[in-house]
Amino acid sequence: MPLILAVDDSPSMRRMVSFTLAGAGYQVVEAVDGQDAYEKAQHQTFDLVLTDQNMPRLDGLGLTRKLREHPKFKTTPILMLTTESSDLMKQAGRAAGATGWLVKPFDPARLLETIQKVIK
Amino acid sequence: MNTFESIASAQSLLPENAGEPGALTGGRMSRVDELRAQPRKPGEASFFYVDHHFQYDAVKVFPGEYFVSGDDVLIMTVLGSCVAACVWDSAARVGGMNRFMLPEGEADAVRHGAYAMELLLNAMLKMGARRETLQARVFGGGAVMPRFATTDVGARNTKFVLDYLATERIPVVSQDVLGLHPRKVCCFPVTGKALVKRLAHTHPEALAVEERRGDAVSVAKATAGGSVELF
Repeated sequence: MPLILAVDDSPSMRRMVSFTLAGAGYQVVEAVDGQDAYEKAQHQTFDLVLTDQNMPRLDGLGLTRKLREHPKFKTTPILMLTTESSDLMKQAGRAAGATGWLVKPFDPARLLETIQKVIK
Repeated sequence: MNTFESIASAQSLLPENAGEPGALTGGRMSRVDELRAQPRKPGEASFFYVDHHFQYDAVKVFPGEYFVSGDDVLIMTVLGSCVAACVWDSAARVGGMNRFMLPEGEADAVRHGAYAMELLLNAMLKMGARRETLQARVFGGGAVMPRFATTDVGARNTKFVLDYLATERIPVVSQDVLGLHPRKVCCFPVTGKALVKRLAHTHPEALAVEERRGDAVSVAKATAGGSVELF
């Protein structure tokens, strides 16, 4: 069963994302911001990281950059799920090493379809 | 939301105290022209005017919009079944208001409502606010149209926003919700002060039409919400 790290500072968003992923049979570990996610990633390996952008302590782009420095996260799919929709932000996401960019609000079917496409 | 369209559609709902920029009382000069010239993000309110009653530069929030500031401006809206959350950070002295209604249907409603709330909260956090010191005032959710009263759109909007804020652990320090009247709401982002006035039913149809245009689905459309891009 694939394991997904779901990162968002909003408890409502974490609840909705986890509900959708668990319903599709994924195992989910939640993190409350980029820093929390990065610490969890030290002890565990994930099949996919789904992260918000705007978060305290460490944002989604910062998390992506730090994970990409680790050999074990070199090729892990990292999807951004954020309210940010500007081309500038998407370019920064691509440069940081993100796999894809999803703009909130998410459609559950579309989110799952995207995850299936990129997960190994 | 297209600003010109929203202004044109709401002629009858324009602020009654609106005037042209110039000198305000106390020797202050209006900054409305400057505010109008600044670039705005999709979804951000952009109807600026001088409020003669309060002697303040003001911005009106139309359905589906939000506005956040750390300046001495007045953020104003008129609510029917829509809800408005006025969120304030007492430490950063930054405040904001949004205005939205949930779309019809159960499945999408919560995700879209959460999105409307997150746009407001993210804009505040970017201005230095912190989740731990946020507090909210909630207004609106009235049953202003007779045919809305049967499905009670206002009650649904109210329940959503209060549930959302509870989940986010943002305390609601005051609220004036539900009932039968439209409301005019004014909030001051620096002090967090919010004022509400219950209005007579002067334009219930115009208000209902305006509000349906601004449900949370149209908010998402205006901001490219729901798009997916793989690199």
